[in-house]
Amino acid sequence: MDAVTFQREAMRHERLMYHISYSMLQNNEDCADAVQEALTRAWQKRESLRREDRFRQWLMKILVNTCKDLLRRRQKVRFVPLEDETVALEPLSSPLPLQEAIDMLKPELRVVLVLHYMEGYSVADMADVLSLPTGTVKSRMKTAREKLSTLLHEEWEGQQ
Amino acid sequence: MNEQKLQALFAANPQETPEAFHRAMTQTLDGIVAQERIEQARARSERPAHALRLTRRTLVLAALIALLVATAAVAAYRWQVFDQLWPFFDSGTPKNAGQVMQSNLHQETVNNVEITVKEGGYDGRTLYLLYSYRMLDVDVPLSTLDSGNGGIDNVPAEAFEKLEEHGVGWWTDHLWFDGKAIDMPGNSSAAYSVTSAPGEFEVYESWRLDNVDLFLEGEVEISLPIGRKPQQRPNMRDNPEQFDENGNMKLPEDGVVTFKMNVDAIREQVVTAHPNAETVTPEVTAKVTEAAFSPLLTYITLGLEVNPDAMAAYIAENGDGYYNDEGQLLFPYDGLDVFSDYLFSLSLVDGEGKELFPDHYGNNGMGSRWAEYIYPYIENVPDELWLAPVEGGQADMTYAIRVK
Repeated sequence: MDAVTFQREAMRHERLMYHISYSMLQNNEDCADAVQEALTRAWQKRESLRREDRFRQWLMKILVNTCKDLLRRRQKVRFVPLEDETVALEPLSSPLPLQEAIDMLKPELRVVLVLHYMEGYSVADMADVLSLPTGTVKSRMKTAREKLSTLLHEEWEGQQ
Repeated sequence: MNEQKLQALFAANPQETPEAFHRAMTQTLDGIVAQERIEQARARSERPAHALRLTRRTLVLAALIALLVATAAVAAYRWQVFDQLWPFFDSGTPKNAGQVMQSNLHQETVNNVEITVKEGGYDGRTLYLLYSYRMLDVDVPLSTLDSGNGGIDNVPAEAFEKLEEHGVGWWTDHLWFDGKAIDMPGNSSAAYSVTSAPGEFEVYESWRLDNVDLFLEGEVEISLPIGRKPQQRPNMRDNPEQFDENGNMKLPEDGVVTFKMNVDAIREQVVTAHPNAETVTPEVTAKVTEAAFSPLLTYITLGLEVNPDAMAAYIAENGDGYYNDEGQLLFPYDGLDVFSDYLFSLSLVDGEGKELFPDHYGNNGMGSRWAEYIYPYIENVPDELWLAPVEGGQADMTYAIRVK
């Protein structure tokens, strides 16, 4: 893959990269750092992309790993295993605005909410981009919806 | 809450991509494209002669075109040195940076500290450098260390202490160019910043080489005193053999980081003018002794002579100088005390009195006999340029000083 193609393909996923990085880092400055580092790493490792139709998944995986590295280095979040149970949330006196409510969730729950509701990703799409089993994605969606509903002072009554 | 309501809630609260994120992406990708073009141009120029069946003239043309294309692409790259230096670069990377800047100039490891000259450039007047120290045995970002007393910018004091423990870092006030030392040029600047990499901070420097009458050309060997610190800093009394007849330190064998930088053709891109047209105000006679238009900045130097009657009137009103509580004269009043307000009011305007950079404060230093003004690069230089007093957005051309 040449640099111009890499540039064109990466820019197509700008919004997705922002949503993923912000879900994990919650800080625009960190997101800018993360995307610079991820793009640089991806370009250096471009030989590892075996099929160009897998570019999106390949780039997002590098981005997610870069965000995790950034979190570890900055010690802002104790990185928890992916299958960890979420912590029960204390009830709040009044409902939060949507973005504040999302920000209160753990990173792995935030990212599935954002990918589904802002990017329109299906469970299968998310499993592909995040390199997770579909069951794990479904489970996180269920938990994320319930937690978010609590923060928004509503009860979840929809389909899982 | 159900799926439909949640979807509607998200639709009503879109999250836009911030400009800073967009800029980070585009500039990183521009840099990747530019780098590949440079490497391709170099690869083509290094191809063995027997592989080509082109005339010499065609080869020269092809190399020139590749270089121009690469240069145009490199111009879009973000050069980090400008993020930290001077308010003159408050818009980030200047437009023509790609013409003067180079990356990854040198790297070496000294006492387990990796020293990297990441960026370097020269605009005909100022040398710009970005280098880093990375202590390889420090596994945390330096931002997590104790700020204490003695930190600089956002680099904590403890980071400098750790570098000192490695016996590495700036140790004498000299730079060397092709082996010859210069003292610290006036109006130079430096800034420091930690990075996210463990053990690393960066140093951003601008050196006003024109203030020591040094103008670079061709391929230059630059030596910085940022390597292994000597046990004892050399001095003329104890180490005369390390100094030349002018008292400048000879290039040491150890303790310096040396790299090469090619500044070909930069000097001929700098256009200079010496108007020397005097403007007489009630307080001062002022003239522009030099205006230099470089690819990155516009440098304007004033020569000043205080009006003797104005000086006498100032002393009659205020005394002959500033005295401390013990009655000692700390410094006598001079012309600067008389006409500094005038200098502060000057702004760069065209022949109609319209400011070229209304949001930019150009003064970069002043004395009783000189003042300097620096402005960004001027793409289309007007037929007339003046430094004029401006108040409330209105220029008073009565006491304007001709620049061009």
